Amino acid sequence: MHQSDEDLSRRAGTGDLEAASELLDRHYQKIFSYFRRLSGNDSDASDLTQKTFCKVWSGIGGYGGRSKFSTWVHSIAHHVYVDWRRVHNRLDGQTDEWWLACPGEGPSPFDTAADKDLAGHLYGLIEQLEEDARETVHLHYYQGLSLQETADALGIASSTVKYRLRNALDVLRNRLPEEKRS
Amino acid sequence: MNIPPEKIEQLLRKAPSPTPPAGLFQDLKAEIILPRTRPSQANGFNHPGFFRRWMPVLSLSLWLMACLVLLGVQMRRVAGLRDENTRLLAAANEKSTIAPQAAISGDAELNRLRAESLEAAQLRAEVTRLREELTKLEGLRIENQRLASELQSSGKAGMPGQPQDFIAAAAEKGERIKCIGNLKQVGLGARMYANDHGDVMPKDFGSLKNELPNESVTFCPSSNGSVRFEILAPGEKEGDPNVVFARCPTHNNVVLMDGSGQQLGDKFKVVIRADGKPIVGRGN
Repeated sequence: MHQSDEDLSRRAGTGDLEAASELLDRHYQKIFSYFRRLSGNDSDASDLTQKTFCKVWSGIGGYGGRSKFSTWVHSIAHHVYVDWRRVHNRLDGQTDEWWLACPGEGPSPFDTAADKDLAGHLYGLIEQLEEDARETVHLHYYQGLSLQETADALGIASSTVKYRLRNALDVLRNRLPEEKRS
Repeated sequence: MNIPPEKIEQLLRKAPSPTPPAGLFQDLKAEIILPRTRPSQANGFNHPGFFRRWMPVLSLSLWLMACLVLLGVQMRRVAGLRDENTRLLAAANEKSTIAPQAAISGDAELNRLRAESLEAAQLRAEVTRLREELTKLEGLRIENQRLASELQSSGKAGMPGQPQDFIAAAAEKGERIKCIGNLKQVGLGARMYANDHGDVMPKDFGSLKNELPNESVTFCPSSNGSVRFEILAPGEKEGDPNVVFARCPTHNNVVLMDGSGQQLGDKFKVVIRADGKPIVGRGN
């Protein structure tokens, strides 16, 4: 029988290791992807993922179910990433090459080669955005969180999330032709 | 080239997901350290979460309650101080009012004490003077005894005008006067009785118990008060003032119907008039 994340987290809060394993299986890939896109390498992404889930298990007793479990985990991941950037002074984003190479692995989600080419440029431009806008785009578009979930994960209002996304799209629309021309 | 925003959003949502390295899941699973189970959490009721959720409201409520308690205590203290202030003001006013009166009464008391002191000094002087006179009288009494003994020895004793006879005569006269006084009181009481009973005089002294101060006034003071007055006109009408109402058999004193008292002596006596009523007449 399929159990919701909230039920599993409640069981995990009582020390149920099996429920904790099920939660880990459901969410570790998305969290790793989040860190992998932001950090740029597997090693740091793995470390950050481990730190994130260490915090998840230590704080699972205080999870009151006020938000979705995935939102709560992303909120922890966001804080782990901010701490990591602060400690390592990592302000650089991923390069175009990584994004260009990454979509090429496995079956392509794009319909045409032009879309694939355009997506590579677009991902590269995302990493050149300001930090707040970049993280908002990562959580909303790459991680698939809703506006409210993104706002909860970042600890801001949903209106702020809308504002950041609109600004980011405007910047991307203005820069894409230039990139293409260059 | 103008790419619509929907296209950009579509491409962003199709962003590839990096594949986790092999063994990451096993590592993460091995690092799972869950908190120790507590009974309250085992039942699904999370106390820390509950308190954390309601802590702001609880703290605010406690703060407001503490403020209310503090306010109540302060208001009570202020009320107490106000009452104390009112009481002290009243006491101060009362004291300022009483002080002049006390001064006035103090002066009066001082004057009274001075007067009493002066009177005591006068009394002491009087006592001293009386003692001196007593000493003189003692000397005179001794002289009088000496003279009396000399007179007795010279054979002139028994002469009229001896001191003992004089004193006895004075006592007799006093008793007679007191007898007249009693008779007048009886006559006055009889007239009061007559006013209340249709001008009819009482028949006996028992009828006069409400009009007389005491029963002893119905007796003659001589012979140790053993002789009672005689009612000569019991039940008579009050109209004739010459009629004798009562008489002292010892001193021959009478009281008439009009309340006047008379000493008849040896020359007069009570006689019966032709109509049978007692009046004052010649003795012989």
